[in-house]
Amino acid sequence: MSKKMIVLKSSEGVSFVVEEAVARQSKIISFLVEEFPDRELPLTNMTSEILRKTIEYCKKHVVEDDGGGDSSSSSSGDLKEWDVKFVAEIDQPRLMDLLMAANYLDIPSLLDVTCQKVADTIAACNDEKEIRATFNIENDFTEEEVEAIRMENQYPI
Amino acid sequence: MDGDGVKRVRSTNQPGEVDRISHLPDCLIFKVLLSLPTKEVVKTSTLSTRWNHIWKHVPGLNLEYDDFSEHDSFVSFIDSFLSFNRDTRLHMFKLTYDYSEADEPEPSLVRRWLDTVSRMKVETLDVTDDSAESWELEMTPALYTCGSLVSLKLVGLTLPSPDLVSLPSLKDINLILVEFTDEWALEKFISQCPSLKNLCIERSFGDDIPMLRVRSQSLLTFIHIVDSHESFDDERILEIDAPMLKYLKLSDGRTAIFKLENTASLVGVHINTAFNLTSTRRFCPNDAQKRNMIQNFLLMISRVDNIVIASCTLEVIYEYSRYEQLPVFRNLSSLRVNLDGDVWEMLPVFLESCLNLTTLVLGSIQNHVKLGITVSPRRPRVLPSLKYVEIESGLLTCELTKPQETNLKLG
Repeated sequence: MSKKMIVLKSSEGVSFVVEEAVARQSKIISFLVEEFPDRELPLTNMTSEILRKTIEYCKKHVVEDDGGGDSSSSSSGDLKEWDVKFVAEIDQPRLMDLLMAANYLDIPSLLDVTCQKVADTIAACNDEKEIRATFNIENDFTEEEVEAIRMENQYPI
Repeated sequence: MDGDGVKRVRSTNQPGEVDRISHLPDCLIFKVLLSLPTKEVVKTSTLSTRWNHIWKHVPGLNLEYDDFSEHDSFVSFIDSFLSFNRDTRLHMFKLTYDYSEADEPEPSLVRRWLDTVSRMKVETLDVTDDSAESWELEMTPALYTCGSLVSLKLVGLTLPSPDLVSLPSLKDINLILVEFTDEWALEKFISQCPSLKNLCIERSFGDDIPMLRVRSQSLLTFIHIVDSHESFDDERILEIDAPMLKYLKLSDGRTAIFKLENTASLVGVHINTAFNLTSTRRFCPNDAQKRNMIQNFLLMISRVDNIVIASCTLEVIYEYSRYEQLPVFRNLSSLRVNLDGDVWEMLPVFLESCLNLTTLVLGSIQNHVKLGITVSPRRPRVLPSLKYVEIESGLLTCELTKPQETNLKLG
């Protein structure tokens, strides 16, 4: 039996032909496929690059779910390792895009791994200065204001 | 390159140095911050005005007693957090408390917090009493009716007997060194969780449960860990009735009798137990009860695909096989043996029951142990299906007469 394919279109108008089972990991696409069968689905706020990455993630996860039909500890362990490597290879602006894409398309497991990666990056910073530098956050506080906030928040040491 | 992303974000930064994280919606920032300890979350309050108050709204707490220099500030921090978020659905409450370190130990204080978070519809509850040898901290009964609870981990606490349990969403239970107010509390608790998927119990020596029945219609994985102790020689019983169970790990130095019922769904087992037999309390062929128990146990695990087995279990199987025939492990394709002593004579006896084995890994749990084994099957036709053999480092002197087409890897 041939697998049903659907077409996703990026913001640049590039079409991606994807197996339905792969795309259905997105709850939004799953819904759209049922509402509008046989239609091309335009994803106007997703670049081709991010859409390609998202599809790569979904492909990996659908294959693993199919393989043998069981979720034995070793295969789910391998999948976790793959996830860690997958987000480790992405630079920060793209990681944010991917996080937003996971949220927009409603792919809970991809949202989990991208959020975890951002959290790990914050945790790896020694202080708030390093967090600001890492994420390009502009400090709009004066030093006095920072001190006042620290006092107010009964800072855990 | 990612021009589309840049256009969406307004920033006073130079192009290419765009602050993306501050422009995430609050709900996504919360999700990120929920993965961090609260002391790290609080530090974000001084990043910029955007971040000033975000930390207070993160629907979770992840604190350790050691995060604070003073007990009072620890207490007031949690109190003010819970009061500020009293109308929030709490995603996570993770607390490590050292009862013995507290200036004025207040188990009632922690119980009050746990009562509050149970009412706040917490989803993940993770509480550790870090004090050794103390089980003063008793869980609130409100836990048993916290309908939103999905994941529960308790370390070093005491669980009360459940009268009324309503935990329709609870999927994961992890109980480490937990004690119980009576011997039936744990059993009653487990059997009344209709969605339970994963259960891990690391038993406390003093938990006073001579017989534990794990009965669940939904359970998929079960891990039971008990350390051995010479001063305990009571015949403890573990009964498992779980028709959906796929994976079972028994790392058990104390339980004497395992009764597996309705475990036809098992796919993988990890067995490290000698059924409470020791060098002074050896397998006795005249002990009909023990013989039957081992027979049933082996029969129940004989349908699995995947086994990890320890030397001590192989030793008992070897002794047993001198009096009874082993069942055929027809589906077994992958076997890992964790060697801890010279069991080489014993392994072939078990391998003869594994007709369709394709992968065999001989591992050592202690890397420094050099066993100096000589692998040379006397009957090469024993394992015609074998395709892959791995002998990990530590087992240094190995010679293997291998069947054709077998990949041999020496670690």
